[in-house]
Amino acid sequence: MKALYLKIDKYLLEHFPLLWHSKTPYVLIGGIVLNILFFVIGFLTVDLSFLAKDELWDHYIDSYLVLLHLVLVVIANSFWALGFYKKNAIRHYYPVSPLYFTKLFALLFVGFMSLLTPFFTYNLGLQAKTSTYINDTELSKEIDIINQANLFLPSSENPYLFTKRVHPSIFPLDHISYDANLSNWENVPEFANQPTYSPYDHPENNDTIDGLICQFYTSYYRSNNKECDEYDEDEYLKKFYFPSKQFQLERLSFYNYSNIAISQSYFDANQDDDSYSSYYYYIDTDEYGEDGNTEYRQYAPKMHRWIKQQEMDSIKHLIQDYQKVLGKYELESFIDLDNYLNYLKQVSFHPKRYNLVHKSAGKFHQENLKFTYQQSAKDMAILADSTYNQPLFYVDQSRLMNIYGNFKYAKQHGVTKDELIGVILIALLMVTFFLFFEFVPFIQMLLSIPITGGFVIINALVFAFLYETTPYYSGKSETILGFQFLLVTGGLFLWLLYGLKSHLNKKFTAILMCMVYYVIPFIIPVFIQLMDQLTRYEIIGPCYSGTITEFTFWHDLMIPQVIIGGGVVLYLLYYRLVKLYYAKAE
Amino acid sequence: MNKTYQDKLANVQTHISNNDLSLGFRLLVDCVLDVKDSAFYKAIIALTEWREGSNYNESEYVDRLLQLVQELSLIQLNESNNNTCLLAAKQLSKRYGGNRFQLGPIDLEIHTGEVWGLVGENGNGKTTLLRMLAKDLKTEAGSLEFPFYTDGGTLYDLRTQLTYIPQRTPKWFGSLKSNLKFAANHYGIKGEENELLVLMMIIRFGLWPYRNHQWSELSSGYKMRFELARTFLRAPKILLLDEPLANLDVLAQQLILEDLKSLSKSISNPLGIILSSQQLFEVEKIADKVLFLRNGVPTFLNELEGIEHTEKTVIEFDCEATREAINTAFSSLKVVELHFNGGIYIVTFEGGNLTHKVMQAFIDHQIEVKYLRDISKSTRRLFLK
Repeated sequence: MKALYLKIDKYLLEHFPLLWHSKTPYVLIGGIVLNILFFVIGFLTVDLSFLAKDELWDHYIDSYLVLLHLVLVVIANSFWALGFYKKNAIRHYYPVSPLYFTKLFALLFVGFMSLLTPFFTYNLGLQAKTSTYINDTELSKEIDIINQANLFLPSSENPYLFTKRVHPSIFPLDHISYDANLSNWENVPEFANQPTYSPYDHPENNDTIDGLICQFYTSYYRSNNKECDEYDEDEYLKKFYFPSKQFQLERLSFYNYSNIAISQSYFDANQDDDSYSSYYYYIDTDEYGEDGNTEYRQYAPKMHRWIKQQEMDSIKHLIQDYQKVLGKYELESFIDLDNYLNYLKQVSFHPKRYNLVHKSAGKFHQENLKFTYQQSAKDMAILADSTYNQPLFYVDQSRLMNIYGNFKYAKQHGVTKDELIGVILIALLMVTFFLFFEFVPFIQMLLSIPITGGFVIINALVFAFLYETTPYYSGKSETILGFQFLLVTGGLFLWLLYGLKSHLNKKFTAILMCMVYYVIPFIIPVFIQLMDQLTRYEIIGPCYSGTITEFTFWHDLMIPQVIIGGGVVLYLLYYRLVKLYYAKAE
Repeated sequence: MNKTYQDKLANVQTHISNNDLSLGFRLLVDCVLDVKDSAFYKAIIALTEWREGSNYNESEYVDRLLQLVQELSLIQLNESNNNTCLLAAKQLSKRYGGNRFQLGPIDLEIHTGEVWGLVGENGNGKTTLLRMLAKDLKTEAGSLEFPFYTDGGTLYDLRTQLTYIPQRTPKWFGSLKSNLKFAANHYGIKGEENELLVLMMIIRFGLWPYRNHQWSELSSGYKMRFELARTFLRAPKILLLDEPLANLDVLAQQLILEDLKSLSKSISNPLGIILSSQQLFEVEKIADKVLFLRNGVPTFLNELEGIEHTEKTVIEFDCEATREAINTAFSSLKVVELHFNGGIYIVTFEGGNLTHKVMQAFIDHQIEVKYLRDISKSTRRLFLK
């Protein structure tokens, strides 16, 4: 092994001095080993218990593994740095190509990336193991079972609490309360945000439920695309119901108090949608949401038929299938099926549960809440009357949802753009940090810190003076700061060039080298920010008398790719000064 | 006079025949380096490995050396021009601390194959001058030209061929050999040639047993040899050495000076060398020109030769005799000045080439002399003023 290492080392030294100097092949090998190690750890970490209790998407940060990774990277970098700084072509005036630092930059970047990517491979290990627990076919089947069973089971996390036993509000019914005037509205299938329909003007749509006169419709909301308020939405009528005539509402019990637990389309969410919330909260599909709505409509007729015809065996088999799903994931549950089915018969099929609407929209939600609370109390009273000392059912649904959230992450996540940019940014910071000490004298670097600090303080005072003495205008501070920064940076740069070419003291020139090095990453974003500030303009808004701000393409340039890429380009240009500095006589 | 390749080989053969094997071998390595043929590199390396092994036999070693000489003699080499100007300084000067110390103005020209000695007491500007010539220190006045450097590159590119070895060499890390290979690689010496040439330099500078040693495992002398090996791998045009003999024993000093002398007159890569040293006699022995600095003012030894040495004889000696006895012994000679610094006498006589008469005077008066040297042509005289 040692002989092989020596052979490789000698080959690199004789043929590729930069590779040998940067130790990139060894760092890469170490990085690959580290990646494999983290993948295996991630793979071995996942089991059913993990899937039920933990979340894949933040486990790396939450676990101690991030510390292990950090320690390993620090150790690896320390050893690497010891080797790296042992040789230095520049300080010995060896001939180097004009692209010497560019190549070195690239090699170091590759090496550091390999040390940082275990963050990804760990997550990929988690995802790979998670994916072994289910395939797409099984997933689809399980979702069907869960969603249908969910119509018969409370979805609250803690079934022992009254407040948690509230059944969902009516769906898809609502009460129209607008004073509107729309003739022949029935012929408008998608009538828009025209508050013109008045129930009182359309008695033909009236229906009486438990003595109350009601009209019902389903609606949805859509952004009105107005420039003045992007959040402004209009309500659209989707469908009008003749409850008693078309749907025989009194029979559609489950429309009113059940919802979709998890949508099939949940797993087809856009991969770019990598916010944490989308993995968890999206599970509780809004009952008014399009996805849940669609599936709900698929299930409802069958469920309705089961209820209507009291097909208790079908319901029983469904709940048994549900129990199998729970058993597969080793989730804690208890359902006394026979008694629970009796409970369903007594409580859920009772027609009075549909008396949930009121002609006063303002009171609707309050009434609804009051009712559901009372209804829950009744339900619990039934349970309390039973001879059992324990509840008829207990399902750890939150953990089931957690498992499916993890499935979604495993299926969709991979490596996101934001994560990749974050890791690239860290790697670039490491490269610029380590390359800095490749050429800058350490003492001058130390001296440059307080000098730069003093420089910043002086500039802060100048900024304060300029700010106080300049009349107010929009974006004043950004503009002053941008101009000041670019002027000072430009001055520093010119001073450095002068120092490199003239008789300016070499040690002082080294300090200038350091100071310019510190500000390079900020030049591009400050410049774009300033240009954005200078080119934006106000126009009269179309919606009201105020003005709105219009931006030019500079505004769109404030993206990580431009800022990071620009910083890298500036650093690579900066490195061309290093040879000038080293050639300079003291 | 510049020696031709065949002269050098003949010289090698003579040394080997006289059983001066170490010197003969080193000069043989120089010839091989001139030839630049990997087959001969391998032969030298194989010979070195064999010599270090347990089967070493001196007579066989001599035979193999002579065999190599024989093979080398069949090769024809184009002799390079050994009189190219490498560095031309005109009115070079620099001041420190206002006007408290001024170096120069100095005019000098260094040609290929020349070795310059730079002598003077401490604090008289030797290091400053070397650093100025190395472009490591800016000059205040005068011009400095490097005629060999005409390809319009940057100052950095110039300094890749203008090598300066300071008195205190910087620490390096890793093995001696890997450092040399790294340096050679940057100079475009890659692959097998890299390995062979590095080993040749290791052999040439007597570093073979230490090739895998670290910096901390080497003595000062071997650190200097390492620096020389690294420098010669770079095929420099000019080599500036600041006190390379400091911390070296007498034998090592002589060895390094002889090596420098020989390498400067390389046929394939002749170079100009300037070295500063306190070892006046050793430096004067190998230097083509000697520059003496006192308070920053230069004096060239060849200037002294033309003016003074034919008129006076200056002898430096050490003995236990009293001053009266010495005066009595020199009564028949015209003593201009007799100086005693507490350890050494320095006496100046009217007339040139009187060394043999001085020695005869000591013999006649039965004065036992521990040490005697004619310093009429040496910058040693300048230290007395």
